[in-house]
Amino acid sequence: MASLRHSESPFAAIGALLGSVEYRAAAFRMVALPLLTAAGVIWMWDRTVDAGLFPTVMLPPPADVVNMLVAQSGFMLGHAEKTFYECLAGFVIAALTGVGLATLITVSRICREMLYPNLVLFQLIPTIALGPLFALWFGVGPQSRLFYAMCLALFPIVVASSTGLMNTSPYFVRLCESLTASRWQILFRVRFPFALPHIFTGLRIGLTLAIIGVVVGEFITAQSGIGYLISYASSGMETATALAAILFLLGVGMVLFLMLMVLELVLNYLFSTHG
Amino acid sequence: MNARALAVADLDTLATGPETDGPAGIVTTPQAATGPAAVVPAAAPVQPLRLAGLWRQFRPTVLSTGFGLFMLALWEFLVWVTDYPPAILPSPTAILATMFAHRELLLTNMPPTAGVALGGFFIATFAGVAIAVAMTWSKYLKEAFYPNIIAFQIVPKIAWAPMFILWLGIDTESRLGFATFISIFPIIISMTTGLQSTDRSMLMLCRSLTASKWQMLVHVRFPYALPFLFSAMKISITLAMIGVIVAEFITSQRGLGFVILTAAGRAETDLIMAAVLVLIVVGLAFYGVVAFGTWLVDRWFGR
Amino acid sequence: MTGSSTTISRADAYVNVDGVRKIYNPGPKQVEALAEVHCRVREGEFVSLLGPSGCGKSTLLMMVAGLETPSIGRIDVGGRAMEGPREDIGLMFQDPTLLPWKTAIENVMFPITILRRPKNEYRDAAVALLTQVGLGDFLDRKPAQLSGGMRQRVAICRALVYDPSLLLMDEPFSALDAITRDEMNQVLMNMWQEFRKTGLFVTHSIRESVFLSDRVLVMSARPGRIVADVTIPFARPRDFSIVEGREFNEICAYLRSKISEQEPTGAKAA
Repeated sequence: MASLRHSESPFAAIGALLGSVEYRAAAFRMVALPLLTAAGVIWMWDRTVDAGLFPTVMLPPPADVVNMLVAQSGFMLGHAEKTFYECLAGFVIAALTGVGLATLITVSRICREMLYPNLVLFQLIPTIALGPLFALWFGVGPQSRLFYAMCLALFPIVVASSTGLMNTSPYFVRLCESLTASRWQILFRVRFPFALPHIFTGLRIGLTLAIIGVVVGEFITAQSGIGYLISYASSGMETATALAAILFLLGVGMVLFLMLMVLELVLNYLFSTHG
Repeated sequence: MNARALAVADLDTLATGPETDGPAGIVTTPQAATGPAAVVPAAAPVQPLRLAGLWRQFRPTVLSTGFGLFMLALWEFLVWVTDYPPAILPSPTAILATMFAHRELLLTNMPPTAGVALGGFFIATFAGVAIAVAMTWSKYLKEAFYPNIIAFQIVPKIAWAPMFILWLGIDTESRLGFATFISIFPIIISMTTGLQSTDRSMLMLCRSLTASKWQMLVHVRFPYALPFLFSAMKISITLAMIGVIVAEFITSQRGLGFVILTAAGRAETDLIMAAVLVLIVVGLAFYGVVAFGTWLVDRWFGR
Repeated sequence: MTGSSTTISRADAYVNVDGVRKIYNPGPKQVEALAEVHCRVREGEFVSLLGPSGCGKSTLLMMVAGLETPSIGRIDVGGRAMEGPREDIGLMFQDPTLLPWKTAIENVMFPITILRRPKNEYRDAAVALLTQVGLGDFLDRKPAQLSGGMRQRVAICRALVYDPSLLLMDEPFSALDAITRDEMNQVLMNMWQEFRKTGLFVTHSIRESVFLSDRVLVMSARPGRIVADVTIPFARPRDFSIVEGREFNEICAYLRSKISEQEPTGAKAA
């Protein structure tokens, strides 16, 4: 192959086998380099712990974390499930309320002028700081974390959804009005499809905040859940457990975001084919 | 006569238009001119027009402020009428009273929280900018680390709070470290994006003048990236505050988070809300400073 | 009506483009931007590169500037081969690319900062240049306060302030409206008249190329080649009134026909 003669680096050689040298080599490098770096960091972690630079309570070797993950997976999964359901519930309530409020704001001008500025203003309240208050009001059970997560997630969802729904091109709206479409028809056939990207941006932020809310809630109150696990393990100097728990949290987060992504794909499909 | 009817009436007047004749302010309407000479004072048609316009302009502000104030008043009234225990829901006036009564407590606990947040924010800004510059300087550094940094964002950083306490102890160091950790990522990501997004033509022009990488960075890339930096700083300062408060929930002997936690333990809801009010003010002040900085940068850019 | 590159000897040429080809993405999916270009520019000449979009004229200009290298062939400027950017070349783009936080005079002085030359030596020249293009009262304005035409004038001054021997311009007036464009042609003409640099000007406006240049090189569509080399006979200094004349329009028509010859059937020339 003539192209092989031009290549010098091993990356390029592999890339050349796949086609055009310059682009494939660069693409390969962009995937390989970060992965290699991550592996390198983990390797360095292992070596420094092995050399005894840190006490094992501070930083356990990576192998310990993996062991903990595997050995205690059942136990940790139980906690992860609790956290998962609390996040999901809080988020779903926030999402439904948020989008509902946004719809109300879009449709009724009076509601919009009354509520929207106040909602934007409400975002100034550091709701996270109110964690203990929710614990006081709702006790140490899952409800308090649920409402906490819901309140955290609500405002970005409403604001983003309202922005999306209200900012549909006015020309399009006028066009529909001229065809004597009712407000509700305009809402569902025009505004919602156009606003979906904004709504989902808001939902993603909301989901992140819901997860944060549940975790912080568990720091404060719980006797179970991933947040509790991290907190408890850290105070008990069981670092490997804590790190493993964080990894489980990563898993919970990924599953939730994946579900959101699927929902987005489904809605996009529905609205585009029936639009 | 409601505003809408007034508005319609004005439009009619505008259509034909009163004619101004003679000394300013004296207006003769077309009909009046044909009959016996009649002079109508200017005040009558002009005033309703101005009122209607004013209402249209200020209605949103009036409605939203009015609604907000109404809810506050309702809150106050409900608490007073039902005699709700203050442990559950104190009235707005009670909160303000508590704020005043406990002002010393709140004021002494404000600096630990605000100071650590500010400190974490500054370290995060300087370190974040340095890292972003390093990644822009070396293409390999960026390709190696930047995707990992982005991937790391998936884990909610707040979950690391207990680990920082494990690593750095229960005192200020852990809170400072955590505040830095939580607020550095928006800076790195935003600044890297900003440094990379310089106009290509400008860079080509510099290259044609045999400019060195360092010159391009200092004279061109960095100033262009400043707006990105400042918008990230707004997020970072907020995150730093949140980080410190959550760390204080977990373990501390000082700070507004500590006040809130202990107040919750004693069911002193009014103190919780008073502390949150202080947090809001501090947060706004910080955010305002960064926003002011953003405005200065915009001015410098000539906008 | 035609002069030819071959009549300029290698010794006479200030810019010498020799058998240059540019191939992107070598391999099965390669793209040939330039197919064997030969051309020569004498010192002090103002030459236009005229051709349809995508014919590679900008690529050629970038190679003369030292910002890109030819895949095959070589380019010499001032007797030395181009191996990279040089300090004595001025560059202008379609976008004025001014630094928004610097004033007009600071933008003009920007190359002096980059080239690390003493500022006081060049300040007067910068002021004089800006005054000459009519921006004497706008020295301390920032680009946001200047119109598109004014910004390009600042760009011209910036390209001239450090006294380069070669001026390369890549469609600098394409983004301006027609009236401003004609004004800018006159401004450039006047500046060039005063400073007499060697100039290479890329454009897709036939009128512009004929008005400004000593010679016009017509390029074919991609992969680009020089298909015509037309000497413009009008004496300098030129007045905008020649644009209405018969000879001017005949030359334009000739150039237009040269361009259409290269276009695939159905396409219209600029």
